[in-house]
Parts: sequence; C-alpha cells; structure tokens
Amino acid sequence: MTFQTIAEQRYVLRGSVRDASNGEYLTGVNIFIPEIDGGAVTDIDGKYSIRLSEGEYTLIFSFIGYQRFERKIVMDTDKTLDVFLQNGGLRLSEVVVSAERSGRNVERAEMSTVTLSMESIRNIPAFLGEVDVLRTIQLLPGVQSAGDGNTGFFVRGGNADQNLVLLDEAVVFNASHLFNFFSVFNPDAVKDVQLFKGGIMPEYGGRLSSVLDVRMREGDMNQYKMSGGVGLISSRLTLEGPIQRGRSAFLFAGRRTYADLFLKLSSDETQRESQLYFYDFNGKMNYVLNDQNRLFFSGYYGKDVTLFSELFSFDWGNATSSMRWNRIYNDRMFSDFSIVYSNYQFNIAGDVGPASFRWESLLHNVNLKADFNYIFNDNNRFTFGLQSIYHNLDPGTIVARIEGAAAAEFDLSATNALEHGIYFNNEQSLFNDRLLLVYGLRNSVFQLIGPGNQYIFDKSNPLQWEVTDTLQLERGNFYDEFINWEPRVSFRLKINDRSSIKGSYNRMVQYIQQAQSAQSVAPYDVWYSASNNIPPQVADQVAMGYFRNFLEDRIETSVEVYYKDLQNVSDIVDNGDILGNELLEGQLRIGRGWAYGAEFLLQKQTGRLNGFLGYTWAVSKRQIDDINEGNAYFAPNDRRHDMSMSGSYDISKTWNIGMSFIYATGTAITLPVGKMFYQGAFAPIYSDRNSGRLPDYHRLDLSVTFTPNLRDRDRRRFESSWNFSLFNVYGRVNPISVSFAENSDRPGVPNSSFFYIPGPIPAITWNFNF
Amino acid sequence: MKLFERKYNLIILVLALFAGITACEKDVILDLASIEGKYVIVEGNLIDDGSRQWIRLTRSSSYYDVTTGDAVQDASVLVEGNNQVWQFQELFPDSLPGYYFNSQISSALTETMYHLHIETTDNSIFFAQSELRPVPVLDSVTVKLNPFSELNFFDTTVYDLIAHFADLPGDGDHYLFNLYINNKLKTPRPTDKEPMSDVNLDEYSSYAVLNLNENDIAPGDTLILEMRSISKEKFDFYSIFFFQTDLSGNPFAGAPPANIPTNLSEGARGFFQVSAVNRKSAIFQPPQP
Repeated sequence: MTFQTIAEQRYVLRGSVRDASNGEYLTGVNIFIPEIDGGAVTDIDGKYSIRLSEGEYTLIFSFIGYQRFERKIVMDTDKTLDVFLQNGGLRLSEVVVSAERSGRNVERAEMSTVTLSMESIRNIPAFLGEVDVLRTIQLLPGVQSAGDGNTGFFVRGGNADQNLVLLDEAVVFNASHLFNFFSVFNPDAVKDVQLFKGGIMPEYGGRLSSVLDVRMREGDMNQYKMSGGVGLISSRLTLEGPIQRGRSAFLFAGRRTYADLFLKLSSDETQRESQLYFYDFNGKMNYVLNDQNRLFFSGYYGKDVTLFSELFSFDWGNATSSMRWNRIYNDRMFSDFSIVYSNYQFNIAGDVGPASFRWESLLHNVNLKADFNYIFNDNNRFTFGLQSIYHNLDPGTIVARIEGAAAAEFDLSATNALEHGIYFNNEQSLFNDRLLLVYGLRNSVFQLIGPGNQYIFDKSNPLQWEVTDTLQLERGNFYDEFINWEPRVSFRLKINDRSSIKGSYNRMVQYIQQAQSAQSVAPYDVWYSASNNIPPQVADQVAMGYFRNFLEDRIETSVEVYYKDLQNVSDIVDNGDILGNELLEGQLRIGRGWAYGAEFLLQKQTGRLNGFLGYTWAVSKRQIDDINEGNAYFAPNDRRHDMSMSGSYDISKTWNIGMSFIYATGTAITLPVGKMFYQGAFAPIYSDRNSGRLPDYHRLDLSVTFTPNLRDRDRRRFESSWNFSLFNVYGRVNPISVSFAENSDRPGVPNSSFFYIPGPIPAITWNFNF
Repeated sequence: MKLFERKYNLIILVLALFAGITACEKDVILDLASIEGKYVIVEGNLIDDGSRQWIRLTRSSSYYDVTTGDAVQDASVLVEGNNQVWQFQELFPDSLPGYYFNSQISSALTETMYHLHIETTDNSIFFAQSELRPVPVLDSVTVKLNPFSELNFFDTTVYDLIAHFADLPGDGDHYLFNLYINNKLKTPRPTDKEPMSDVNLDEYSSYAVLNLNENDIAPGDTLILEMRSISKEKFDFYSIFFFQTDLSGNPFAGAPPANIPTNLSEGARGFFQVSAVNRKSAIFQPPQP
C-alpha cells in the first residue's frame, strides 16, 4: 500500500467537549485513542480535531474532576462527536498544580508551563479566606513571591513587570487590589489559568519572562445559577445562565470588600472617617451562532478606593473588554479574530484648606488580533497570526498648590506607540510521535508616534544625566522604530510512556516597562516605552527538563534547568527620582542581566491525600555600568532557595484539611554597613547594591473545609461549604520592608525596624451555589 | 513648605500612613556588616559672615553604634582659593577633637571656587571643591498662622516664617534657610533646614520657608532667619538626606536605598560647601487670626 493510498483513506473526527452540568466548553481535555497510542487535547474553545485511518477506534475522554467517558467509533467517513463530561468521576485533585490528564506532562512538548484549575486553587489555604489566583501562582517552582502584601511575582529571575498578565486576551497592567493584598481575578469568574515560564509560543509577545493567561468562565448554557461567598472582609456573587438554552450564555460576577467597616471601630477619628475597599465586576457572554461560528464578549471593571478622612483620596483600577470571533472554515483550519481594550488609571487627590494636590494618570491600549490554526496533516499543526496594539501611556499631570508657597506643576508627557507582531509556529511529530518539535518565529515592530517628546541627555556624569535638549515631535509623525526577530523552539523526546526529555529556546522582546523598584508596593504605576535613551529589553532563555511519572502516572516528577540572558535591562540610578519625573529616562541605567536555576517538582494528583512539593535553586544578577560601580549585583528577585509544599487530605466526605508551607531565602536588599554623622544627625552608609539579605521567609497556612450534606449532592440544588483558614499559623515576622532611621523615642539612637503583616490571621468564609 | 516643594513627599507620606493601617512595625537588630572607621566624614560649611569657621573630621561608625564616630585628629586641613591658602587647625583637641578652626578665611571669602585638601596621619588624601555663589538680600521676615493650623490640623499652633526677597536673576540658584531664636540655632540638623531651588520662584518672593511651633517661641523673642547660597549638589544632599533617613524603608518609595551623594573625593563622605550668607531678624509677636 502506498503512502498516497493511506492518505486517501484518512477521515477527520472533530467535535467539542463540554461540562454536562453547565454546557461550558472545557479546555485541555485529553482524548486518548489506544489503537494509535495517541490522541488530542481540546483547545481553549473546547474543540478538538483528529485525523484517523478507516477503522474502529476507542475514544477515551478524561479530565481531572470529571467522569471518564469512553466511546467506540467506526471511522468510515468524516465525523463529528460532541461530548458532555459529567462532574466528579475522578476525585478532584484539590491541590494539584496541573489540571492536565495524568501523564500529559510527559507527552506534551510544552515545558515550563503550568495549568491551574480553579478547583485546585480553591483548596489552598488563602489569606483572609480570599482564594487568589496570583497567590497560588507564587507557590509554583520558578515563581517567586514579591513578599507579603504583594501579589507581584517574579519568574525565573525576571522583574514583576516582565510578566504578561492577560484576562481573556486583555492586558492587565496592575493585577492587584488593596495595595497588593489581593489580585484582580475573582475566583468565581475564572475558568483556568496558564502560566508560561519558558518555551513561550510565538503568539505571545511583549514581555520577557512569562505569560499568565487567565480565561474567564463562559456561563452555564443549560440552567440559571447563583453562587457566591461571604467572608470576613469581602463578599462575592455570581449569576450565570443561558440566554438561549444550549446556544448562548452569560456570566456576571461581582465582589466588594468591606475592610473599611472595621476602621469605624478605631478610636482614632481620622481612621474612622477613612475608607479602604475595592470592588470589581466580571461579565462574559458567548454565542454559538452555528457549528462554524462562535462569538465571545467579556469585560472586567475594578476599582480600589482609599479615602483618608476628607483629606486625601487615592483610587485606581483596571478596565478590560474583549470580543472574539471563533470561526471554523473546514476540518483543517479555524481562526480567532479579536478586538481587545484595556486600561489602567489612578487618581490621587488631596484637599486641605488652602492646599491641594492632584495626580491623574491613565494608560490604555487597543489590540487587534487574528490567529489562525491550520492542520497540514497528522504530523504538522501550523499556527500563524498577526496583531497590532496601540499604546497610550499617559503618566498625567501632577499639580500641588498651597497658599503662600510655590505651586508645583509637573506635566509628564504622554507616549503614543504602535506595536505590531506577526508570527508562525509549527508543531511537528516525528518518528511515530517519539519526537515532537515545535518551532516558530515572531517578528515584532515598535513605533513611537507623535505627539511626544524626545530627550537628549548629557551623560558625562554617570550619576546625574542632565537634559540638554527636548525635541517636541508633531502629531502623527513616527520617530523611533525598533524591529526584532524572536525565534521560539522546543522539543519533546519521549523515552517511554512514563518519561520524556524536553528542551526549549525562546527570545522575547519587551518594549514597555514599569518604573518601579522591586520592593515597592505602591499602585501608582508609571509605564514608559522604549525610546532613543531606552532600548527594548531582550531575553534569550534556554531550558531543559526531564519528566518522569510513577505509579501509573499518579505521581509526577520533573526537573527543569534554565539559563536566561537579559539584554538592555534597566535599573534605577542611585538616589533616582522616578516618581512623577518627566525626565524619567534620565533616572534609569541600561545594562545586562542573567538568571539560571533548577526547578524540582513532585506531585500527587489523585486520591484522598494529594499535593505537591516544589523546590527552586536560582540565581539572578544584573550588571549595569553606572550602578554599583559597574560590578554585578543580585537582582532584588534573587532567591537562592525557594521551597513550597501544599497538601490536602479528605478526612471524610464532608471534611477536608489543607496546608501550605513556603520557605524562601530572604530578598536581596541594600543594607547599611555603617553610618555617618553630619550636622548632628546620622545617615546610613550603605553596602553595595543588594549585597544584603532580609531574613529568610517562611510561613505555614492551614485550612479546613466543611461541606455539609455532600452525600445528598445529586439531589440538592443548594450547596454550601464553610472554609476556616489560618494564615501564618506561627506568626512569623516576614518583613515587607526594613527601615533604618533614628529611634523616634530616643533622638540620636540608630534604629531598624520591619514593616510586616501580623499573624496568625484567622478567617472564615461561607460559600454557596444553587 | 517642604511638603509641597518635594512633590512626592506628600504622596509617600500619606501612603505610608495607609500602610500603617494594615501593616505592623517591629524594631529589630540585624546582623549587619560593618565598615567602622573605613570612611572619613567631612563636615565643612563655610560662610562669609566674618566669624571663626570650622571643619569637622570624623570616621564612620558601625550602624548601631550610638557614638558620633571617632574624631580624625592631627590631620592637615587646607582650603585654597582666590590665590590664598588657609590652614585649619585643631585648636581644642581634648574638648573638641576632630574640629579644625580658622578665623581668617570667613572675611576673605569672595565669589570664586574654593578647594579643600585634607591629609590624615595615615597619609590618606581627600579633596573637594565648592564655589561661593551670591545670595539674595533678605528684605524682611514675617510670621503668619500656618494655614493648616487655621483648620486645627495640628495639636498645637504652628506659624509660618515668611521670607521676603528678590531672587537672583536667572534660574539655577539654590538656597538654604536656617532659623535662630534668641541667637540659638533651631535648625541644626539637615532635616530641620529648608533647602530651596529657585526654579519655581517668582522674581520677587514671599514664601513660607520654615515652621515655628508655639511651644518653641514666646512673644518678644528674637527671630533670625538665615539664608545661604548653596550648590545644586548640596541641595540634592539635603533632599536625599531626608529620604534616606526620615523616609527610610518606606515601602512606597520608588528607588532603592543608596548612599547620600558627596563632593569629597577618594571615598570620603559628607560635604564641603562655601556659602554667602544673609540674615534678617524680627521680634516675634503671634499673628492675629
């Protein structure tokens, strides 16, 4: 039989996989066909497509948290098979890091990638009982927390602003609420979360270190539902249901904190009159127009409000919206067209009698995208696409006035830019799927457009650049342009059914970045773009990994090593003034960085006792000529050791206990090595940059979940559960920052002190759905 | 007023207040490396009022040491400028060790560049230079009730000290204000003083430059407002001194901590400044609301 003859006898099996309880499409469901020792995985829209020779096959659909579904099918023509999976078959893996099918970690080419289901996130003990996506992300190997009170995270030695955080494709510029204690992601509205630490596909661009892709739930297509939770500091409510049963659905979710109500109990009048809360809304609608076309609309709006008596207010928030049209052309090709908008703004205002202060800032972007998938043949899946983003970064104007004093007005010029990307990628299976190659290329172009300012600096004094000229560029004129090629390659070599070796190389380019030191927790984000003074940042990362499963895939292990080379990274010059500084570029210095490390992961996904243990050994350094006298220094995110452990145990059908423990080497910071006296006061003399360390970080959290009437689950519509959690069980003092100043009670006496979140913090949350 | 001239102070101070709502503070003693004695600290602020001038030399101390650092004694301290050289001598080595005095230089200071040369007994040599810049004439000094105090914002009554003067032509001048009450300096420490840039000053200025607390002054007391010319580097020195001490460790600050800049060479710290000085006095009477 010739190859041509075989090709002619192949047929296409395609379809979708949905949650039987609500009709939502499921991403990442594994479809295994024993006869060919292979299969497929559903895409983000729950779709799959397999080409099979004529014959009879067994299809096994499996997904953690759902009953396994098996179906025999005879392929004698092209066929469609839509599947609805029932909940609860496989025991939910409460603390699993991956929602993937057991064994998939060995088979997929992707490495340095983690998928989180909300079921897994919910059972990890949460700060103040508030389940949080970003706090869970921080537990993963290769991901370092920015510290207590901070949902910022560092990936493989990168800065926090080097993570591309997406919510239904929209960039989330500031993913934090309440001074970084919580993230913007409402757990009731999130479907799943993927974190790419390396081996990043070429469809993604614009950030150096990682992509955090958060997808919102689509709503129940079959019945109306309400769910929510009441906690100590916040409450949540979600409504969902069909618009047209089986064809379209909506989901609306909202939450609000009421921590400021506790301020009313304060003995201090000023605190009693203060407010400190956030709220956010998520909405999504999806329409199945027909078998070939689906539409998705989603949006997010969130705002933090702080009001300090009547004197001062500070509010900030993100807004995103996206519209996506999913189109299937034929058995081989489908596409997604998206229009995405996102913005971030903050307003600071103060009014005290004759004094006033205003700072309003806004940044937003509009993103047009087209992504295409084309299946060449059984062994080649080709994707390609293009996108254009319009950036407007307006740090705003600061105006400060006081009667009798000089008014200060700082107009921080806005930046307008276009960022384009075009890419292709091919996933090629070789040697009967023993070797899987994924290779692609992205070309990115960044163009600054007038109106805008171009600053020329006299750089003769490395510590203090003086602006010598300001070129004001006319509206519509293109002035600086940067073009970069970004190759992305990865492979998976399957040794046997239980083990594989993977490797990847990717180049990433970042054109906009954030002016903020790593330790800062303030939400007044100032983003700036590449310019004549600030070249685009470039990262080259290579990674290798060994993946091995044991006990019939019930235990998964992996070891990954990586090396990342960072070019044109910036850092703040000594005593730099980055806050509200129009000449911000003059406060930054450009150099290189490098990071390397090894990540170890062991996890058990199923059974009454499950959890994971992760350990990372890592180094992250920077070398910038005008900082630290040109000597290399540790990046603030350098953590030599980072270990996290999380586990969950079902005591009975109604009681579950969970725990998580984190240990990490202390943050690299600049510490005093002495002091000087001058005019009767002392000031610290500091070490080389970041040559000191905060004390090691460690923390134990516990939780207990009680789900009454679980035995009657199938018969009852109303379900509820109680979650009791204890954050920082043994009250470890983990400093957010350290201060070196005079003792306020004893003038002239040097003092040092930690700011920290006190513990232990108990919390109770009641969750319900019906 | 300090709060508004440094635009970011207000933001950071108020945010720090919010941090205080949610975070706790705990005093700690850290195991810090020590460079005790490694650096020579130079405190030299010469003025042209004809008085005896001094330059103080000490050594750096470990951070938690409560002393002011060992005095650097028996050093050679010279200031050169306008084709003249003045030697500073340690006149009171027992009672004021590390203080080097000169009685002639103040009367001879003119608008030119001055060079400091220090050689210690271990043959370490340090240099600095500072240009004496002119200072405006203070026309008068008045007192008025602080606008915040009018709103009972403070626990006690606070007054503003208003300096009235014509700024020097052009931008780029920097000044420093000190306050004396009954001939006693009330602003001895760097963070007490008020540095000012003329970038935002009008041609003729009447600005609140320092505050007075009612507990520090009584009707009939003599106020003396002193205005010195300083360099931009010294202006930055005072601004950064404030950030690295009073705002140390603030989690809302943007930049990492760093050493306060100096104009001393060869690793010495501190600052050498030559200034023109102008003073104006007034008798304090509480302003009527």
